[in-house]
Amino acid sequence: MSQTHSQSDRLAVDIRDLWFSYDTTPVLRDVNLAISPGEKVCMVGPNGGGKTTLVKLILGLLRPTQGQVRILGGPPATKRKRIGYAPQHAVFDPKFPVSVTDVVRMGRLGHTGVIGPYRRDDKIEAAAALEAVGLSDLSKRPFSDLSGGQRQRVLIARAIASNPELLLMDEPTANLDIGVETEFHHLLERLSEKLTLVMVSHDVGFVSQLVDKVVCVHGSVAVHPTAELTGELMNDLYGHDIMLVRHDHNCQDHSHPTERHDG
Amino acid sequence: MGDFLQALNAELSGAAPVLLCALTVGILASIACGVVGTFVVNRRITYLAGGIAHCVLGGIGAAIYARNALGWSLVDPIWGVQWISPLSGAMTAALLAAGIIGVVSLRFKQREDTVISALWASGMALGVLFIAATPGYQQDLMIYMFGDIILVSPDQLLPIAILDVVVLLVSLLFYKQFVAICFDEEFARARGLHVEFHYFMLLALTAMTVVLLVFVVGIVMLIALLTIPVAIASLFARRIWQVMVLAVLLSMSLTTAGIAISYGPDLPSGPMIIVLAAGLYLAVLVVKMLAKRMRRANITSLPGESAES
Repeated sequence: MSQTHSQSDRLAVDIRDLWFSYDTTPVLRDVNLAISPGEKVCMVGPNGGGKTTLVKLILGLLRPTQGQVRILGGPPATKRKRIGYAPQHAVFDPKFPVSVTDVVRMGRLGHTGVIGPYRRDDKIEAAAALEAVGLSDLSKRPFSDLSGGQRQRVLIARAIASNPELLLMDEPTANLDIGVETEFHHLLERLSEKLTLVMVSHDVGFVSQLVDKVVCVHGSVAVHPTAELTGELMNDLYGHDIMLVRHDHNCQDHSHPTERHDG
Repeated sequence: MGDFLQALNAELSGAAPVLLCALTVGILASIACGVVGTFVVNRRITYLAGGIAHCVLGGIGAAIYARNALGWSLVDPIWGVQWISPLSGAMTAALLAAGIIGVVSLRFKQREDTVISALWASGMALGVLFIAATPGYQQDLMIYMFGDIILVSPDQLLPIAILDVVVLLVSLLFYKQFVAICFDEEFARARGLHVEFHYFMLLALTAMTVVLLVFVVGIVMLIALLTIPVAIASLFARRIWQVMVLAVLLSMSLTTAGIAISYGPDLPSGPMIIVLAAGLYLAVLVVKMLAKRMRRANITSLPGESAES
């Protein structure tokens, strides 16, 4: 018993025999998943397959119906300060009056003091996080003025403002602006050097060059090394033919005559 | 307006300070109103605030009944304060309603509006029955429902000021948490924030602000004073604290102007304040729309200019 525990303590994510249902139909069935520190993992799967549910279980926002989730050697709720989370940008009230800086500083909650405004080191860390995603010059802009891709990057800045050991991102590649894909790829590479990265993405082609493991979530969970990722596997998973788009990150200028980088 | 200034002048030189009291309470309530109203609007709980407001009548009715029909007074021997008063009744009912409505909104989620509507009407019904059972207090019902400057007597200024300070202090000390749970509750929870605790704290602040506003514009219309200045401010300000400052200033101007204008023709001040607020909101919307249209016309009339600029 003590041996399994010490093993579990070394894992960033350790899910055992997990079942989860919102009402009676199980959304996730008998999930076992182990992610080591420093690993880069992508979750793929059809809509309604349980990807976001699994992310929320890892965050401790949902409780498993059966089984256990241990994060960084303990229950998720006790490790929240060390987890960064970037949700999808589409869920926000577009009229909400906050600036980009305001949003990023929220990432310091849990580290900053309980009473009073954010402190000096919170402001420094938030500014550094915004710098890391390349949006320092937008810091004073209203969050609602940004494009979808920019908002997504702000949410990533918010997630890394606490210098997390484990970073969870839900669809970070959705709505990415044309032209910043390469930059974004570099950002993820840089981030993943320092921490354990778990992201949900439909864009398997994009992330497959980056991750060590692909976790297919479709009620149950299957783990594949990235090398195994083939069109056939994806067809099985999504249940219909899908197109795997080839992603080059060094586009030739002449092949995209109308596209310009919006640096 | 001349009557108002004359009366104000008389009060400043020693007459019974009815107007001064009303103006002071208007200014004090505006501070809490702008600050908490901003949270209420952005957390989208105006309906909950409406429910709390109407439940307040139950507390006021119970206090009036206990004091006048039953003869309870509970006078504090040291301070000489009457513990049973419309203010304390309103406060108790507001906090109780905030607690119940908070639990309902967390537990029932999809059906919260149904349950809150039921509470909304029952709180009010209790108040009407209590006041009906108290001989000689029928006109109080109208005054509490629709607001009037005679509601505030000088001895209520201190408790109202304390209430205002408490609301302002709590709002500012936990400002960052309130902003975070209004913007993204799930993320706040993922950061380890106790979201439910802060939600109840926000509802308690709402309850206290509602009580302050009862004395300015009355139960039925206070929801407008809680939201309209914030709505106007949101058209100009882009951060929560900016919305708050602007809403507080607007609310102060509107209450003061409403009391001043209604004094001469002897109209009730509550409805006057609300009409002014709604009128201002409408005017600002129209001006903004016209300005936008003119800008657009300018842009299209300039050849070679991009429409995005």
